[in-house]
Amino acid sequence: MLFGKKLTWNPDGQHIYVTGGSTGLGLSLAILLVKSGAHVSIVARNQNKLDDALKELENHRQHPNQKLAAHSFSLDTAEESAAALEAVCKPHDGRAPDAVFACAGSSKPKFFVEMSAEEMQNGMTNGYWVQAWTAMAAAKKMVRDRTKGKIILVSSTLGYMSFVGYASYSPAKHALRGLADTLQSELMLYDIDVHIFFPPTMYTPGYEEETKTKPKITRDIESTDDGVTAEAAAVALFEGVAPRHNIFLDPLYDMAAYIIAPIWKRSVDKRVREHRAEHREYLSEAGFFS
Amino acid sequence: MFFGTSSRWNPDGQHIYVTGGSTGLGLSLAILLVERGAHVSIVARNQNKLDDALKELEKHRQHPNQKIAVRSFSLDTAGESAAALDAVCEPHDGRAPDAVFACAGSSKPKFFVEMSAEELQKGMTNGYWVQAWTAMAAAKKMVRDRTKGKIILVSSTLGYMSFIGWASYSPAKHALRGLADTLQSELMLYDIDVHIFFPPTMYTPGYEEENKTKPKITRDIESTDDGVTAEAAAVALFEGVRAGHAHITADMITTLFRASTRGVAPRHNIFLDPLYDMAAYIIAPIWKRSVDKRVREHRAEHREYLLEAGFFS
Repeated sequence: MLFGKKLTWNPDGQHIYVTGGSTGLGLSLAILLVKSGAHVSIVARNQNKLDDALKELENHRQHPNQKLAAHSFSLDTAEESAAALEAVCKPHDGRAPDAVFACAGSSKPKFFVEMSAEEMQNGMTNGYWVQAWTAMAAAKKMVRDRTKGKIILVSSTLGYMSFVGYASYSPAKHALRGLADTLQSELMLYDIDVHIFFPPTMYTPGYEEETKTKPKITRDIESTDDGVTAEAAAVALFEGVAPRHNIFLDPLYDMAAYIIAPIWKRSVDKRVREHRAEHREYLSEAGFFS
Repeated sequence: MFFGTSSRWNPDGQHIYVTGGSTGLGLSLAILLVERGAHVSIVARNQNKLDDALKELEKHRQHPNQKIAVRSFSLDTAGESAAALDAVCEPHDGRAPDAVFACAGSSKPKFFVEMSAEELQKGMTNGYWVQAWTAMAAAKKMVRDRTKGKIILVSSTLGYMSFIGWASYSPAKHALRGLADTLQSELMLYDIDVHIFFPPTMYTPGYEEENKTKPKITRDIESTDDGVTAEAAAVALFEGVRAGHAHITADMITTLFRASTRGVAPRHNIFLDPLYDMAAYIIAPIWKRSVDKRVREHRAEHREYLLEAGFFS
């Protein structure tokens, strides 16, 4: 642990359940896991996308006995998420998976005062509940089966900080961190490991979707950040599940952030304040004051 | 803002709306505000508690023209929270309040695998939505009225970190931070200030309530933390708002977490904050290691407990 010694986690022969597995990060991760010899089950909503994904996964099959499966389920509620898990475990004698990667999620950035209550609620469903319900079902099943498994949640850089435009998304991504940190402690009772991933912008279909509603000021602020491909993100996630962090690097990162973060924040605040008049015009035209 | 100069926020003559204002932190804060000459409106659910709170607030009245009001509303939904806000603004010509302190909230700590889906959901309603809906209604109203107001949310030390027992509560308290940091940035578009308070354990009726379900291991882990009274917490919150702090704390432990998980939240003191951060860098892992050890040692006993509770049947 001292000099960044690696602990290895080897998915070969394990049953791994990936939600949101038909596109983006989930699909890239599923491909990576199939290449590593795992049995992989993916869940998402759209049957067509699942069919395409399954074909793609088959291209990477390593052994004839690898079980690759795709099931269509919504994950919005506790019941649906539990049903999805049951369906996924059925071909494995009903046993809990060895690891669950909760990659499901989407975002709809928008100005807060223009959001409806429903949009605000959907933000929590699509950012938090679609993963939390899976974590709950998986934890209960792993405990009952005495499986010393892994549960991995997927947050975002916006789970560590936030700025204009993300009022329905950032709370959900922060909530995932609260859940992960609680469970990382609590599930030690059952030898279940918990990890959480904080990817930056990932160039995926999900990204295309969120760009449709994203305010221009939000886009401008983000324009300086390099995003990553889903493949690169999947690799980082996969490798992060194994090794520990480096106790020398972390304080250096911290000191860097201490200098850099306030500079970034000051520039963003300036941009937002400069946008006030234009924004008021925009709201006026949108009928907000009528 | 650097040396705490310029006009400090003064509630005298302002209309302040306090949710969760009939007990605990909210009531203590409301009393403080009435003492400083503000018009104060409080909302909570229970009419009896509201009546008692009103009597208490009246004792601290400073001027005959101070408007002190209590209204009974649930804040669980967007509709109810907006209705509560409108009701509270009616005696003020329907105008938006000058400041909104969202103190409503409760917790029900429990082992995660023993929680029902409903309990997990309620944790988010009672920890996050009861404040978020108020923030939404208040922001929209302030923008329409062109009120350069303040919105204050109340999170918890458990909004900066977490540990066993808090799976329904900590996500909600973290979510409030995500909302506050987004709005602190976004509502600059309207010159609306946003603050968020991270109190530690507060010795209030809410605390009695949460102890009913709290697992023993959670209680043991917390036993070393000093809590604060609701009055002390209210003073810290009030002073933090006056000092212009985006993130406000009332105790050293939470301050260490604030300094070490700051994200892009504005710093308080450019000399002290790094010291707190370095202290946290040393202390937090030591604390965590001791908590992990305690949890691991509890495994066998916990399995017995689940067995007897019928979990494996």
